[in-house]
Amino acid sequence: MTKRYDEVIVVTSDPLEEAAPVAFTWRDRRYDIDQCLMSWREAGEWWNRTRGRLGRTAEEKNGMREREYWRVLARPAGMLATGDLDSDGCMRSCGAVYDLYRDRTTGGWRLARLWD
Amino acid sequence: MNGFTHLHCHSVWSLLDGAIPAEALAHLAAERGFEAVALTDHDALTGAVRFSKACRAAGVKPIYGAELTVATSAAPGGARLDGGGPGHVTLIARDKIGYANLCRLISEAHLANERGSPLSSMEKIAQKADGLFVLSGCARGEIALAAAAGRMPEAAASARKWREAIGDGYRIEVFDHRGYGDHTLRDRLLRIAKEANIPAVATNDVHYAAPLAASGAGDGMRSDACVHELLHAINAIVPLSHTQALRQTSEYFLKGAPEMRDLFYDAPEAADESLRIADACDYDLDFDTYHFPELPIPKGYTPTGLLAKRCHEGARRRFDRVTKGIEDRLQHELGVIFKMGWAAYFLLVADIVDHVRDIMGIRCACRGSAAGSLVCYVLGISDVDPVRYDLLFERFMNSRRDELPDIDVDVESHRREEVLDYIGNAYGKNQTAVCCMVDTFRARMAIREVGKALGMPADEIDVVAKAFPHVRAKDIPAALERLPELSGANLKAGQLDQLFELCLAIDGWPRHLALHPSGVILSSPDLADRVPMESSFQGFTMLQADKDDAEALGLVKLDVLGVRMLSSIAHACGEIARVRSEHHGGVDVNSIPRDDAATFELIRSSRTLGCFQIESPGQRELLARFQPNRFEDLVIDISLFRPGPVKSDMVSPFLERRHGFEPVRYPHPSLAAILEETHGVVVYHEQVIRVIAAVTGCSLDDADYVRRHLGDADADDVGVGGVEVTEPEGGLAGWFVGAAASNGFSRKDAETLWREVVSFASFGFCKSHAAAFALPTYISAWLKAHYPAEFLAGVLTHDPGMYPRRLIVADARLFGIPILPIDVNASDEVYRVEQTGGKPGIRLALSEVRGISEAETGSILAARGEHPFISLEDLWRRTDLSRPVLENLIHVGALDSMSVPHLPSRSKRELLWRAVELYSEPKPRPGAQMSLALDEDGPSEVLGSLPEYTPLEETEAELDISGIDASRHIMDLYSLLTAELGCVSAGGLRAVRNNSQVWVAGVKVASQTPAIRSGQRIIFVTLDEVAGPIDVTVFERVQRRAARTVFHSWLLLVKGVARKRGGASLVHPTDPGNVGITVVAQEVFDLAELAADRKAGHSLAAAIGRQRRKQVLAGLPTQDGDLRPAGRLWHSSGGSAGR
Repeated sequence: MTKRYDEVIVVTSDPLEEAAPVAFTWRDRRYDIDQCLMSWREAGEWWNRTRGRLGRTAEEKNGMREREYWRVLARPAGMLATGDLDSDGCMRSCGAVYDLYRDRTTGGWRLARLWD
Repeated sequence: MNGFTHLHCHSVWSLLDGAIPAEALAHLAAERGFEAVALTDHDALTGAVRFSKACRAAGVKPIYGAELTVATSAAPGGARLDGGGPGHVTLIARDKIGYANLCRLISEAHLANERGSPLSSMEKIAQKADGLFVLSGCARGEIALAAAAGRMPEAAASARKWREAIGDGYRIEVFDHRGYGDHTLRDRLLRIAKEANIPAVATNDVHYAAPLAASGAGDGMRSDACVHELLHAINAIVPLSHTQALRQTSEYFLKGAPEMRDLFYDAPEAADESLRIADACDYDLDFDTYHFPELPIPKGYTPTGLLAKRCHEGARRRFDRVTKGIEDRLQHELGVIFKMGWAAYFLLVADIVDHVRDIMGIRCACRGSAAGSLVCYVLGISDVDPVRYDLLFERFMNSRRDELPDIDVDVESHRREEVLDYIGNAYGKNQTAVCCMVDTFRARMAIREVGKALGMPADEIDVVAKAFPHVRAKDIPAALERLPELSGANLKAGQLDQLFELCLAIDGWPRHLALHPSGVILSSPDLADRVPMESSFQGFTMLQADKDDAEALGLVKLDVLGVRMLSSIAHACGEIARVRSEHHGGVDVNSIPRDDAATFELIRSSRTLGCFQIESPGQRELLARFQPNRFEDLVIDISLFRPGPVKSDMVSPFLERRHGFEPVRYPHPSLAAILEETHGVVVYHEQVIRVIAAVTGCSLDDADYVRRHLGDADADDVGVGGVEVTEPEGGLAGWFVGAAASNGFSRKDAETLWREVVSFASFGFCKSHAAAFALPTYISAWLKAHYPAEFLAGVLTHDPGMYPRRLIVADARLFGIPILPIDVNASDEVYRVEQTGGKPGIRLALSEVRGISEAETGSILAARGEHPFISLEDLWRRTDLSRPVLENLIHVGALDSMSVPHLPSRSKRELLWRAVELYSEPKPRPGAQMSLALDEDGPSEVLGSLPEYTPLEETEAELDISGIDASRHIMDLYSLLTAELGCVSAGGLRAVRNNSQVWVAGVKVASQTPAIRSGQRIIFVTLDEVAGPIDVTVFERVQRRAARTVFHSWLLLVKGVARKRGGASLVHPTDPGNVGITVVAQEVFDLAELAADRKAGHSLAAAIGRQRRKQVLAGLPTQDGDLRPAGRLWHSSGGSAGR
């Protein structure tokens, strides 16, 4: 079961590993990231500029879409991770899987999806 | 280890799957610090020569390879696999053997499969795996596809199978384009490689230079990646919004070595392997060796011995007496040919020309500098005597030439493919092929394709595309600004930014390969080891190399160019033999005297429509001023009518001197002998060569070398062999002046001469070429002077080229030749000459009927051969005509001559009505008893009598169906209106006082917009009027209002001022037209529109006023002419001299 969002979040990144998120704040609540499961990039519709000019978001307005997605295992700050590893090598957690993305042209982050 | 080498890079030569030119790839690799880079286009090495040259320039090591499309075992025969096409593997050539195998594998993939769908296989690659690295391929590789789908055992089995088939050269290709799931796939491939003990090699499947555009982000197109996606959409012929399956990351670029190593932080051995492979590769293209064909030589002969023997035999045939001069020249030429090792080439070309001309009966003509060679003349390759016309061998070939001499042979255009077939069959497909010609994205096509990809509405694309002439995409913004005829098209530049920006990005990139119109390669039997081949659209074997590539690779070439005029001449000769009882065997135009008075009279009258090289408005004007009276004059005329001489105004001084208005002057008295033939004006390359040799005392070889380097930017660095460059800072100039001084010229004279040589060298023309061209020019004029009906029938049959057919028909009418309409009982598939009223007339061809197929024409001719058609019903029953074609035949009047005794003839309207009924009836089976009686299928009862077409309807029908106003000149229909306007006829224009105001009207037949010295844009329009052509000049200040009408309307009315040329007194008295007179336009109107307004009851003044208002209101285009006949009815060009 997944829920789709497209909401602004504030992300803290790991200064050592470039751009890799370690925590994010969504709807005034902070989430700690236990593990980055995967990361991929997406390029989107760039050709429809008439629509772009009327767009809401920066990437719609400038007619570009360059996103870097991160699929992360995260839990609300303060809730403890169990620390156990399951058979896939994933950390067992009381959290959930979130898809975050960074707009590579503006650097802004958004939450795209929540897997629970 | 550190660093990385990209072994998988696509360029624009992957045709719509690469967004970086091969040259740019080389330079970018050097810029990003790579020591080597590979080029691996899809099933092609077309970019190899460009890549090699650029790599040499950039100082980076080239590696050659290709990504081959292969049938996979999972999907034998190339059936679709996992939703994609057949699989891919990446081949890298390690050495010369590997490159040869690569070439052969690519050729095999193309030639053994349907055109455009190359396919190879593991088995085929395994047979030719010597010298090759075989990489398992990108995401479309067999192994990657299985691994991505999670079928790991299958993927591992495939890897082992390939490893076994290929051997040590096999590698697992690993990559990570950061797309969803890419990382997983990368890990899986690494695991497969490790488990199967096959080295893995990292690649990035490069398709473009950079991920995000450094500038203009958000301001236009996004980046190189966007251009790549755009090409994909164009390839798939779908809008970008429908290309979801293609949506990728923007990571397919030439990443720097650190970035690549980062991607493989946990598998450095895969990155190291790219360096090891690059190190092992050691092959570059060979640009230094010529490859000559092998040909059978009779026993006891060497190629040189045989060539010498043939030349001496030929000389005795060509000359009544072989003088010592001829003998010496022959020996000199043969000496150079032998020294350079070209004997076999000349023998081969002579063999081909002999066979084509004598056995196949196809007209040939040599063109180009080869006509300057006595060897070519005595071998029969050329028909112009270089001794008599004083042509220079050194212009064609000499020991100092650093480029390949090539021989160009023109053949009849409609039989060119027969010649190519013959060459391929006679000399072996393994050593002959045809060069390709690269079709690139040009403005109109780019706009259409990019517009479609962007999802623009079809009608909008159409408006934009049609608005553009054939300019390069980079000229679009300028064209939009500059061309007044576009200003009325309501194009808003701002909205089209993205469209134009993308068109600009792909400007000049290859779209597809086509057969070169002339370049036949005659090479050695190992040609297939050096260049891959594919099939052309016409089914010929075509090299993945264009003309320049072939030259760089040392491939010896014979240009076989199809020339329509040769077909026309052949047709005319055939008609003469057929219809003229006084010529049993026809005429031999090759042996006609070259000083025929009637021919030169025709040329001087400039009534030369249809003649080779001298039919354009500009040429006809030049002829009238020049007044040529011998063959040598034609050679000068052809040389003068070139952009260079016209631009630098060499023409006027020449004519002034020729007619004695200005004294002849020589740059130096000692050069009189060289320049006498052109009254002291330097016209020919040959003269430049002789002047240099005479002044400096160097050899003709050296002089030609100097001539060819005069225009070089680095001319200062060119040393001249055998002569010391005395003044280092002076370069060529210093050498020239120094050598001239030691040859007895004063320093001042030498410097003046140098300046003259430099300024004329760029405008000069090759005299040999002009002389070769003058021959068909003379023959065509001779035919027009003596057999105009036969000649024009030939021109009409083989596409007149410069002018629409209807103008040639109008010209025939002016020559008093009856025009016989299209008739199902008389017309052939080509134009025929028919005796009518005691003189030859031209019968229009059935092929002019719109939509008629060859099969339909054939069925008419076959049925008519039994007995003539007697009625519409008879025609319908005995032929296989489609309904639209039969209706077109009726409409154009092709059934008008049929009449049945005792029955009233039926009007075209009645016939059309009846045709509708016929096609609703079942057709009697062929062979069934045919009744000639018509009672069963007479006109149906509902049909009363319908009126015949009016003259206007008749002519409109003719123009609509055939594009030719056969019954009358279209302007005849406007005679009332033009009389009312007081228009001057073509004949009357000569009587008009200079600079007086006139109205003229006519059909637009040609418009030219040549480059003009002042930089002003001038449009030259030729109008055709009943009595002949009228030339109109539209200057820039009038264009703003008039250009749209000029370009988009067909029947024009011009108000202007009659201007007579200064040299008008030179116009021959028999000139019926107005050569030397032009009407300078003040206003231009659409005559058809005016006529319609008049008909609707408007007064003349009101109708003209309406058009003026329309033209002034910017953005309101005038309507196109009411008559929009089928086909191409006028010619427009940028003003080149044409061929």
